Amino acid sequence: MSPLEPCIALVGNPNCGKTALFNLLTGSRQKIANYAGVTVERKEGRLTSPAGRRMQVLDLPGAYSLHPRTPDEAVTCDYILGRLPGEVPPDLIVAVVDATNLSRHLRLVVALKRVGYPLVVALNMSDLARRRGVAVEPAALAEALGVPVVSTVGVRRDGAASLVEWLDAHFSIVRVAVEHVEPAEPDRGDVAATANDQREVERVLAAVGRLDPPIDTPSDRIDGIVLHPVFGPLILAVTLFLMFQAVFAGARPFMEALTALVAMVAGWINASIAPGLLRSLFVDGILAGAGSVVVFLPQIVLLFAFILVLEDSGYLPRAAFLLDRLMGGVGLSGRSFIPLLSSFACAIPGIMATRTIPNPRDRLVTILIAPLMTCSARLPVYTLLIGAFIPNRTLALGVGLQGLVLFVLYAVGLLSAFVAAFCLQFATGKRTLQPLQMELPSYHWPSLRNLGIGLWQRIEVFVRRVGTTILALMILLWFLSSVPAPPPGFTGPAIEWSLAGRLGSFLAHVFAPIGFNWEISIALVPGMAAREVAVGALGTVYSLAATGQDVAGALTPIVAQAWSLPTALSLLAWYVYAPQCLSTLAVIRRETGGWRHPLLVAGAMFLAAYIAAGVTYHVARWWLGAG
Amino acid sequence: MEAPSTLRPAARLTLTELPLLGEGLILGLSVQSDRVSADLPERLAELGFLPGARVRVLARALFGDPIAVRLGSGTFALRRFEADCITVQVLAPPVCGAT
Amino acid sequence: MLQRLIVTLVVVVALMQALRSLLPLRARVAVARWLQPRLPDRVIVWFAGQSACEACGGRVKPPSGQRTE
Repeated sequence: MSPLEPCIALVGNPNCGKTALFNLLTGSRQKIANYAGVTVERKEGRLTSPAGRRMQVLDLPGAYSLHPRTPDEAVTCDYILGRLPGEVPPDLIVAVVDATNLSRHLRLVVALKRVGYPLVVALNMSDLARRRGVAVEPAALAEALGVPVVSTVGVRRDGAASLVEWLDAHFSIVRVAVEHVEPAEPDRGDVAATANDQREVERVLAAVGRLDPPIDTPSDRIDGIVLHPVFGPLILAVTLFLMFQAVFAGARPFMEALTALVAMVAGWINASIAPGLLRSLFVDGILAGAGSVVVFLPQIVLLFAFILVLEDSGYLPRAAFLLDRLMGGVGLSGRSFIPLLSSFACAIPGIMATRTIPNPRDRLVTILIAPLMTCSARLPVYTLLIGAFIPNRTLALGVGLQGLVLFVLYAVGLLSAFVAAFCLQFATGKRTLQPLQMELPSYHWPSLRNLGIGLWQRIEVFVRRVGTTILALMILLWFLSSVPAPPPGFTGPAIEWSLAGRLGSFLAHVFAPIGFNWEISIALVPGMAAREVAVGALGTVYSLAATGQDVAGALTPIVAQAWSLPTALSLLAWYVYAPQCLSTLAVIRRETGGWRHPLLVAGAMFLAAYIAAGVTYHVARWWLGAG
Repeated sequence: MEAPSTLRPAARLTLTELPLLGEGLILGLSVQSDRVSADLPERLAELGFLPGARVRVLARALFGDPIAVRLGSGTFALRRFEADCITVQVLAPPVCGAT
Repeated sequence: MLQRLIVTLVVVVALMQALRSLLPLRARVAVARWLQPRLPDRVIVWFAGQSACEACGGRVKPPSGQRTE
């Protein structure tokens, strides 16, 4: 950071739109959603104003006060109070407040003012406040508060214009004034002090002639149904169920098109390159490997579309509300719900999101069970096996059997997580009651722009992963499966003579009791890097093992032919628990600060996977044999 | 500690006991159980559950736990033991639907 | 012969890419240090990551202060 570049920090209550504003100011695309605690880390960006002034912009996690209770709040408080060694506190604080909820949000402004930093208030969501008839004039508020105020709209493209204008007009003056500010310690933070600040806020609001918020908003009326003790859980169950049905049924045409495309490219390569090492690399290594992972893109996009809509509409915290009793029953706080739900996308952001959990013990348990949530990387494995072994039948009421099985797999993961949490509760000893204190934000329509950006980012991440990690691993696997070349007298596929083939037949001894053949055993190894790699690995292995015919892009029929149903079910059970990808273990290590917990998780999940797969295999064999 | 379901002339309740959609005025915050961490009132105060604030119970989940409480123009979900820490005075009887 | 050369090259690049995306930062920097005299600077920067090393003067430095991003 250049010393000449002044630094401004966005501070405010959770879910007031700081990150939306940050994205507007800096042109970044940080994740935003309609619930508290999306941002758990400090994010940095750069702003160049129309006047050509450059400044650094920091986005900080939301905080209700300057007395942190959770790790993410501590990030904000330690930074603005100058408690981090070697860190320069910001030159200016932009206090972002929700204009529809001034009486709570302004209290933090009052506290910040007392700390003594140069301050500008951004009245965010000012469009919404106007629509609800509770808008206040920025000028009037500025006078009553004694702090400059601008109004902003985080979700509109030009929504930060007035803030940027203000920065251009006034910021250099501020910069001179700040040189010697030493942050004052905030008050003790007890109830009386908070009440004091609140009185100050009431005085300010009385001065600007604040209008009382309407008693019964549309949001409340929706909540009357969505949070209803009977209809609420029903709506939640139907929503989740529809989601999995749609993921399965909706993605099918796109997946078929992609499969055909991969097969076409393979055919084209076969026609234009002479048989040999190079052709094998392209067809068996790259297309059969990475190509068979690419075809799952449509499903992942659909799944994320659902998750993003749920996040953006404000429904997620409601779901947490409905499931809180269940979470409490296994000793978790409702705060654990959102990190766990994020783990449906990927365990890594889920584990990071546990920073919003105040109690360290709760946080640890949530981190430990997060890998049991069905992350999107498992989706290709599930889909491959379901597509190959579960008949595409419609049960009653248009419910597809395949979608139902997918739903069950997700449910088994969730249930296992609850069981694990329940057991861990005893391991971690007696506990105090855990508070919930979760904000339920107003509903709003998901913004198409936000949805589009979110989906595009997911596609980018997925394609980059396929193009880098997965592609590289597939090429390596292809290499290990092709050398050394078998001696002239060797009958059978060349892969059985290769390094990978030998490793596979060795591992097959370990996995034979749970029904895995040597091909699966090989695929499990690169699957440690990322779960979906296992699918690509199966593609490469079967492609090399198949003598003569090329198989790129059509893994499903091969698998359906080569495996018995018990083996397939056993592999599904394995992947419910599957020892996770290395990056998840690395994140657990970082968040828990040691190797103990990641090793514990890896060991426990490996054991659970082995047992579950074994039980499934033998039960299925016995049942099929008997029936 | 308040004895539940005895005479309540001033209609002094805990937030847990406030009827659905009824409105209440917060009188005070206190810790009611030793299983609750002592800074709970402070935290509730930071969210805005301060003496003098108006609250309204919007919803109760199955078995009455947790509850959704309207406070100013925000809504919070509280577990039962948290709502037990908040003493309220009943302001208005439950209203049905929109007003 | 040409085929073998291309295949070898592809496999080596794949190996580096795999190490690059799977190794934790510290191990990656250690590998980069070892590779440094053998490969051009640009490859080293790609491998270890722009933030992890400063390629100025042909030296790979370990990441300075741990900054959350």
